[in-house]
Amino acid sequence: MTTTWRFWLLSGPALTFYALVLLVPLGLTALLSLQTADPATGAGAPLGLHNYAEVLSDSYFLEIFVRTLALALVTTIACLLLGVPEAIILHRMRAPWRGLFLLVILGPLLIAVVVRTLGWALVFGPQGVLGAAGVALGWSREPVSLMYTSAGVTIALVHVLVPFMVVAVWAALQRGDAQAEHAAASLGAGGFTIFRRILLPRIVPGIASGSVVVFSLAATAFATPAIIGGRRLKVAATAAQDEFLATLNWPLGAAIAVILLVGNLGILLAYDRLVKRRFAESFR
Amino acid sequence: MPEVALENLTRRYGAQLVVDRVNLLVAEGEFLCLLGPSGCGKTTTLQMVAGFVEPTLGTVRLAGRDVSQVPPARRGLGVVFQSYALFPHMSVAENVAFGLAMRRVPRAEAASRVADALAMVRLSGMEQRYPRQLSGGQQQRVALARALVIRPQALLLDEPLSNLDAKLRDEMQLELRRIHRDAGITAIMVTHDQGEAMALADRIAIMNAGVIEQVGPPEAVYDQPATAFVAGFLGRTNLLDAAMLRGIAPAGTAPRWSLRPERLRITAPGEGQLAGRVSTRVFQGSQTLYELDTPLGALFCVQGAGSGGASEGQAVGIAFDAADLRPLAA
Amino acid sequence: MIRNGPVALLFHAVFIGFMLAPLVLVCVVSFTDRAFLSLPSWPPSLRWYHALAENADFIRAFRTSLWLGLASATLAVVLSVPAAMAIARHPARGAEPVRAFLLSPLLVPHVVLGVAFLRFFSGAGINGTFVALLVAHVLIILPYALQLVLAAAYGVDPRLGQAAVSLGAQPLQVFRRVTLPLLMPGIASGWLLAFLHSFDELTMTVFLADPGTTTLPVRLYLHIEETIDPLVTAASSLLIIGALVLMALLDRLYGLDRLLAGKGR
Repeated sequence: MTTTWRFWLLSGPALTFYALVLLVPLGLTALLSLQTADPATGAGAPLGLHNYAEVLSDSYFLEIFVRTLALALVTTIACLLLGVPEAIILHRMRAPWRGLFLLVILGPLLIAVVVRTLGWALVFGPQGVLGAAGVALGWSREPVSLMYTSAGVTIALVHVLVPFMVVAVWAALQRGDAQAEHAAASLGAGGFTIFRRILLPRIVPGIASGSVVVFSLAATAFATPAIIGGRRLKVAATAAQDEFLATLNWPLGAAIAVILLVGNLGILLAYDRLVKRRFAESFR
Repeated sequence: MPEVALENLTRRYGAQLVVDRVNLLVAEGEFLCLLGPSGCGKTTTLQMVAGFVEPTLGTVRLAGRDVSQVPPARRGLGVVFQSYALFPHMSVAENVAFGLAMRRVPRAEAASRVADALAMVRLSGMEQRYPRQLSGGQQQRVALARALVIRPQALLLDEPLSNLDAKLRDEMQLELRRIHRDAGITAIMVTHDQGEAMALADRIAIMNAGVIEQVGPPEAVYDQPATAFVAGFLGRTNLLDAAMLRGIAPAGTAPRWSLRPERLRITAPGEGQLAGRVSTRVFQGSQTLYELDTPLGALFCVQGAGSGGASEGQAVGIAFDAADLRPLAA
Repeated sequence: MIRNGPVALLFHAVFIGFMLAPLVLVCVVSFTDRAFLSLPSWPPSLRWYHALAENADFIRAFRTSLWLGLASATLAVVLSVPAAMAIARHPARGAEPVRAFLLSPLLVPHVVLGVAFLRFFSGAGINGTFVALLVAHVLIILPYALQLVLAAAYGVDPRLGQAAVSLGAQPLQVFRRVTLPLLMPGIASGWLLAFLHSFDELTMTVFLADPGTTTLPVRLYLHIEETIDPLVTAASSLLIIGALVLMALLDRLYGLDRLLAGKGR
């Protein structure tokens, strides 16, 4: 009928664009990952799962995947430990301060990741602030450098991603009734009881969604591991880039990309099905 | 001002019959209310007249001309929405002038017509305000002026007073009556408020489950309800089965009867057709409500001020005129 | 109001310090007058900003990013507005799959999109061209534009359109005189947010840019890979200032807290 017709007419341009520019390239990449690298043409027959077999059996790639997952996990935990208390502190602040600090924490999301990571390169680098401070304070003789270390990558990733955790938990806190805390206090509940009985149940959905977002972004991050981790500390995203732009083994790079995509979508969709259903009422 | 005719108007959503063969003739200059509970199909009926919803079956005629295929922009009907639907980014004057601009009315004529329309709804001097700067009642008047300024063939009002508080609603009822009379326009109003319908309408059409149950002047539908639904929806009533009335009042052949609470009189014990006892009494100033325990079950009774009284628990007699018993269709 | 205790406030101070330190450091170092990374002496030197202004590579990259951002944000909004109207006006929740599909690029890692577009554009023989970058950027920023335009579209009462129609307006007149003005705040902030995301994008663009179409973040990244010198800190400081200006604009237009914290993801 006319309503349906109008709907497809209006959304048609965007949908067509997506079909051409999202579905076709992703489909071609999946196809590429089944092909065989060929020095002459780049990629060709025979088709098969051999690239996946190589990626998932070669210890070089396995180490990269394990490192990627470990970095993402540690980053997520660190974001939880920092972001959740900070969100609660923000929630308890008074009006002008709360808005101001929320902007200070969330604003960096709108600044390029290269720029934010560059700051940490300055801190960690050989002539960096951290090394200089260590020497000046007598902690070490040689300037310590966190460049090209997992610790350095993790710290920089936490800095880039912790705003997502704060936002998620803060939004969950906003959905609740601010009076509930006062009611609990008036009924004689202490600070810890209020946290455990009132705040915690309210923020659990926020913690869940914040963790999923942080984990997903950490596991697929490129700029931060590339700059801080360099060539010595490769993760899945930088390895895929390497296969495409340096080693020129496109089918292998495509296989890594497909694994990354499927893993990422798997985590996000599983979260959507499991957690979001359960907390459906707290979410709206 | 031409008449509006609805012929066999029907609307189906999937398996659900929302409006079922509605036939109505609204005379020139008449104010008709479509009254019914929410979900009865009254708003869908109005939307079909306006042209926003396409009828599954049936015809809408304006002055005899079938407009079912005419797009809503060409029907020339004035519509007032429940939410008023004022354009928030336009001033009062721009809102009212919108329909004239669409009709390419020359600037000078448009300006004088806008001024006239605003004067009619008593909003002169508010031209440069924006809707958010107006009270609910003022927004309502702008919506009316905007609908009337295009000199519509008829005025359609969708629950126009339901967003106002009680006091404003009473004022706007008077205002609406005056405006309707001054403009001399055919009007169809949808409402779920029976008091509003009785205050404003020349005739009321009572809808239930997609069907019009009864049409008539307010006094007629109130005094002679055709069905139990109409009797219950328009004010309170006592529904009595014919079998229960045997030996108490000479009832005709109808299976059910309606007896309005204000038609019952409380008398001394032993008098009247029925003996009973007062179970609850609620004093309301101008009137008093009683719930009476009787052999016919609980009866609801309203007595005017100064008609004496009975206290809770007191045994009383109950009198009524057999002529006030109204037969109902099954 | 339950107050924050001294421990909480100390934690908060450290947290804010952690968030700001690297950004402040970048800005501070950019004012050095030495040839290597060092804290500036007083008075601050603009040596590296002058150097930046004379660096043809950075200037070209800045121009590319600017045009790319302007063009892709505009195209993204042009595609978003009708789609948002379609979704917002669709009865019941039948439009949900379409909405989810149009937001789905948010779920695809940018490195995967980089790989996919590299393959796609190489096959089409247009890799490294501005048009290829433009198409890719429109796809990744469209969800941001759509979210804000959609929020505005949900806010427009459909009765306003009906009211305009009942007053004699044709569909295009309804759109131009009623719907579009009411969508304007959403369109403007959606455009700005989309522009920012295009301007800042690195991961995907690394795969697609060739020397002639290098964007500013890619230029910065390539430079940092070779050497970290005060020149990149000067360029980064300008990016930080630019982001602050756009943030202030977005705050005026839409409210930054609503923009960043209001949506679920």
